[in-house]
Amino acid sequence: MATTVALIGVLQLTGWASENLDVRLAFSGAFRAGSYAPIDVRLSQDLRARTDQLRFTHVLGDAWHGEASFEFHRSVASAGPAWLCSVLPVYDFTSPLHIAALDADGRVLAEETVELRAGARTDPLTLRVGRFPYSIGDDAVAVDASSLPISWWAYEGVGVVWIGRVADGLAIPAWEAINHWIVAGGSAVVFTGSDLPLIDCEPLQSILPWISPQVVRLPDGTDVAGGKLRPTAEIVWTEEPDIQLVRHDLGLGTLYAVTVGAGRCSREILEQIAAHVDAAAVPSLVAGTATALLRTPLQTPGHGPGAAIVIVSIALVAVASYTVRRQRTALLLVVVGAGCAAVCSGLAGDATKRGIDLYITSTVVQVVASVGSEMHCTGMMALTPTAVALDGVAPPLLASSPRHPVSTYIASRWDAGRGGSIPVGAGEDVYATCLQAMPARISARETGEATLRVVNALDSALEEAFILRRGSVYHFPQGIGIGEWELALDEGEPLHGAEFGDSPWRPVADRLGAALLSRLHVSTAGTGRSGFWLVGVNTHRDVESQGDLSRKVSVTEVVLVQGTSEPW
Amino acid sequence: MIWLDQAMAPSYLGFLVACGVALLVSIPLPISLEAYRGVLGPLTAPLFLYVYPLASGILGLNLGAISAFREERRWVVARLAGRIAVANVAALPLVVFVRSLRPDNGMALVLSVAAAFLSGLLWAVISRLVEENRRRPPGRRRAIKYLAFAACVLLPIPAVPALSPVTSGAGFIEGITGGRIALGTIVPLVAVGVAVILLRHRLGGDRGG
Repeated sequence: MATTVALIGVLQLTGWASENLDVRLAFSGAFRAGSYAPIDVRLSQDLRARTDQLRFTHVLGDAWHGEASFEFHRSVASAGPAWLCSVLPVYDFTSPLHIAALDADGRVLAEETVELRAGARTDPLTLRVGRFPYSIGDDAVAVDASSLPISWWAYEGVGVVWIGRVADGLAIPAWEAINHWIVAGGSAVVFTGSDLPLIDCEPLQSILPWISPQVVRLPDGTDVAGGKLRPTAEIVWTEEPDIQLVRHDLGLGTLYAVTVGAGRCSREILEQIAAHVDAAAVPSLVAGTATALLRTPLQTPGHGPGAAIVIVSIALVAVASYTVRRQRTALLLVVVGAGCAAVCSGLAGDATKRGIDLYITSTVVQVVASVGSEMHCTGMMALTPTAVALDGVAPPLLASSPRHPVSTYIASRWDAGRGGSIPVGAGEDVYATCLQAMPARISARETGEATLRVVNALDSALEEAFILRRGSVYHFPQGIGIGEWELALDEGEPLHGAEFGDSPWRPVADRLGAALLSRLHVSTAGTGRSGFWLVGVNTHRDVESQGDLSRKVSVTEVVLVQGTSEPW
Repeated sequence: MIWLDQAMAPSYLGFLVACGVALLVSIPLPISLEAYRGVLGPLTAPLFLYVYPLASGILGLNLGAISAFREERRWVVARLAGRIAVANVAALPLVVFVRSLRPDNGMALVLSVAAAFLSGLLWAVISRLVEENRRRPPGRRRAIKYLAFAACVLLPIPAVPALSPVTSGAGFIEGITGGRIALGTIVPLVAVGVAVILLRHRLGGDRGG
């Protein structure tokens, strides 16, 4: 009887809780498995006033492959927008996601469970924002402009975003997120013409392919956008004199602008446009980081000191046993000798020479164009089981070792703003990636046929720099300091795909990987679109001691700055 | 009291050579992490920690036999314990060096040393007990104690690894738990106590301890 009453009480509590907590996956419930996914949560007014934080819990894997749980906390302010947007990595769509509202003491006030299986897709999503006269493919997901995420990594699982006629336009933060995503490798199609005034704003102006876009009304009443093309833009398709598809390479991605509004396009025209659009490809840094990590030589105390210690110990006992007649002297010899040898042994294996327990190799790539986008990948390999704290890093998307698929699922707990730790087993290599937004604080501009001006407002100088331009790579081993610099391009080496020989560019190219390099749109033959890239490289290597543990840390930061020849 | 002489030297040297070779094998080669993962990845504890207690047990068997051959009847356990301690003191530089290979848990190494010492003492006393039975031929006595040692080393490995001298030391590296401490040190300690009582009884009231 008591059990029944308790059960009814629990059921009532659960029902009450779910009425106060509303959860939705932002892209109309669709997401790509293995990518970040935006998740919106709305709390009732009463619940919001009492809630201190939201807890997202996701149990991953299965008993066969290994189970783990991912837990993420985000704080809740009493005031703010009705929907709280969080972006979480969704590794596994087979198990549900649990969301709980917690008070300041960690008590659960309300909770909700979201089944993920129905919305999971294996291919990148095609998003359709605004009105279109015809559908764009069969799989396009219609998304309300007001629910677009404001963190660019929420688009990681998206292939193309189509932006048609949006009556109320897009919010500035949503545009900024799309800008960051394009710079990181995203792909968006924007219909202009009569739709441009509805969506026109500063973030859009900065990425449109025209320097000063203008809308002209033709005699037949069609509004057509146009203007002077940017050096990194080109017309890729023309249907009629007034309907053009203009491609603008922006960072690692592309913005496609259609010169007319969506309402002017027939089904055939939309299909033609779709055929000319490349899908997004935010590059993965895992492969390059894994190669660099696994090439790291193992640092050990060395066999020489070990052999010396063994020989001394054996010699002590041999001498004491065979040559010393007095037992007290023999014992004293062994005890004192072994004591001295133990001290020497301890010194030989001191902090600077002792074996490293943990190897960390990080690759940080900042892509800077109209805005900046940052990608981190940290590879960790432990010789003994340990938990690796990654301070100050946003919730990561964890990837398994490419060679160890069974270790895909890794238990981790990430507290918003406080970082977290990742358990790494012995002999296991684990990779954590995270994506962030940053302002564009460095720029490069052509000032002449063979001269460039670089304005570096980053926190630190670039230790080494390269310029990729017209099929050649120019090396600046002295780097680029903070401030404004004029660079003269004297003598470059030809870019021959992956065959860079002993060029200092080679390790950088290896680290970035062929997939990312292909996104730079730098023609190896020098016949590509105009434009150039400044590539800055900073490397940092250190052995850090934390208590009894030693870790060898190697960080390579690569800053990819898309140069321009536009006037200042 | 004799601690070191020419008769015991081969046993001591054999113990140190075995530990020394295990130590040198335990030091990873300066290879890449990828090669390391492929070659040695599964072995999480240094080989030294497996060999050290095993070699200590074999040393105990030899020292027990030497004690019986010399017909020592006074302070037998103290002599055996002292000789095992001398061998462990001689091996101390090696243990300290192993700490540089696995610096994460110094207490685990201390417990490993304790387990190795107890293993040596236990098998020294058992060896002395077996050798005391002069009615059996020497070959059979040797076979009995070495078979018993092999059984105690091998049989617990699949079921209760902490009870085996081979895996008890490495077990501490994987994590110090009450169960591992009990099985790796307290059980051998109790076994030593029982063996000492049996030895004292066997030596017929002489001061076997």
